[in-house]
Amino acid sequence: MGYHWEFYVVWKHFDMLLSGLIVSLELTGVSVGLALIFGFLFAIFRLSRNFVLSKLTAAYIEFFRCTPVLVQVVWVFYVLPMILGIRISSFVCGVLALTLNLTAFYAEAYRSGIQAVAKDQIEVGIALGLSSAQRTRYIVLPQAVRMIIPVLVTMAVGTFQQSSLVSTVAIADLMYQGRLLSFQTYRPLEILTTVAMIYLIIAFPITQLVRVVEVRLAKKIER
Amino acid sequence: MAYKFSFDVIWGNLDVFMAGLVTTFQIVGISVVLGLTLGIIVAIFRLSRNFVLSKLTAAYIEFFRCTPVLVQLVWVFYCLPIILGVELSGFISCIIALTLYAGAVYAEAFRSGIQAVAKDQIEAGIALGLSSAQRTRYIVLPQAVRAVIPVLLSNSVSLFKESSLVSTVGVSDLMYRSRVLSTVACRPIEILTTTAVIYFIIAFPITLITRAIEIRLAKKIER
Repeated sequence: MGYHWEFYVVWKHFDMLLSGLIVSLELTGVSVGLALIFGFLFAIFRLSRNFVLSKLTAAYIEFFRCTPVLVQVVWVFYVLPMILGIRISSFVCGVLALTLNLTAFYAEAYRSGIQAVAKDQIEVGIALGLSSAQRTRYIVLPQAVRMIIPVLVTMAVGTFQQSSLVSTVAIADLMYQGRLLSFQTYRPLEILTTVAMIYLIIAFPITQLVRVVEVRLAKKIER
Repeated sequence: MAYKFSFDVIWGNLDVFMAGLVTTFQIVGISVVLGLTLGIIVAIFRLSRNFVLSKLTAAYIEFFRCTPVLVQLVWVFYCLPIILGVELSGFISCIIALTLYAGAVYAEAFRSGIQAVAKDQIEAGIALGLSSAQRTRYIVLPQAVRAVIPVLLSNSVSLFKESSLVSTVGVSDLMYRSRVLSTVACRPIEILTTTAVIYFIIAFPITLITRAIEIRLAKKIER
């Protein structure tokens, strides 16, 4: 129990952890941005009247929601380049895996938002002579997105946490740098605790903010 | 693109997959049971009127919900033995990490369930002369647990998926054995795809059952 804490190793190598954090944030940012777009597309596909398109999209969504992210990351990293016969940089692999995963979750979130928009509002749109695209653009989307903002942000925080998995395929994110440093310096306790704290410091305020927004939205709906 | 698929490697190594799956089930099973127990206790502490107890458990819950499971796992694996001064096997480390994580997630589910039990029911309990412990045992808990069963189930499916992370600290679960096998057999496409399908085959039906229960419960509440 007489462990002597030496936090100077953390300060000494803080630039490494910081560079890792930047990679983690980049991975998360790009994946969230792409998933916001593709998730919406897939939600539309899922709700489309075309049976094949709808079922294919459902299969994609269920598959990515029901398999571990680690399996997806490893699969994209090792298998996809073989199937496509091209070289993919590890960063792109990381983005691809996280995006595929988050898109499946976002598609479901968008879908629940779109389905929650009251039918009579859409009928009003038809009565006003708006085209299907216009109704989607001006009536359904703004309301659907506003409703699901808390869910989208919560899932984005989830992806930030899941981004730590790319460390297992040698992408130099925060977790990777943390593990590397802890071996190099023989100070896993200080370094891994710091890594955990960094994740916490970023994720915690956002989750608190989400809760505030949720309470506000719930009150608005009650009114 | 002219990749020749050879699924013989799967049939020839079915026992490897099975052995990995058994380890995965053991880890998930034990963690779910311990996590549920921990979760109930933590939820009750979280709702206690004792300020210190409530805030301490809140800190525990937020910490484990806002840091990546991989970080928790690696921390328990490398750091906990140093702090405790004892040796922990990989299997035990994983159980500890996943139980602590599951406990935090389940606790929030139980808390929402407990808070959803109508106040007048508790008042009826007081009127009947039941003690606080009796009210918790006979009025609050049975209803709270029933209401949150879908959430607990989907949390457990997540835990099943997260359990693949134990492969990164050398515990020979399904994911670990698959990765070793894919390297040894040089057949990552067939093997890693099979791994993903196995996870899917187990997680997907439970997800469907969860949804069916959710719809039933929602109908019951409407009535």
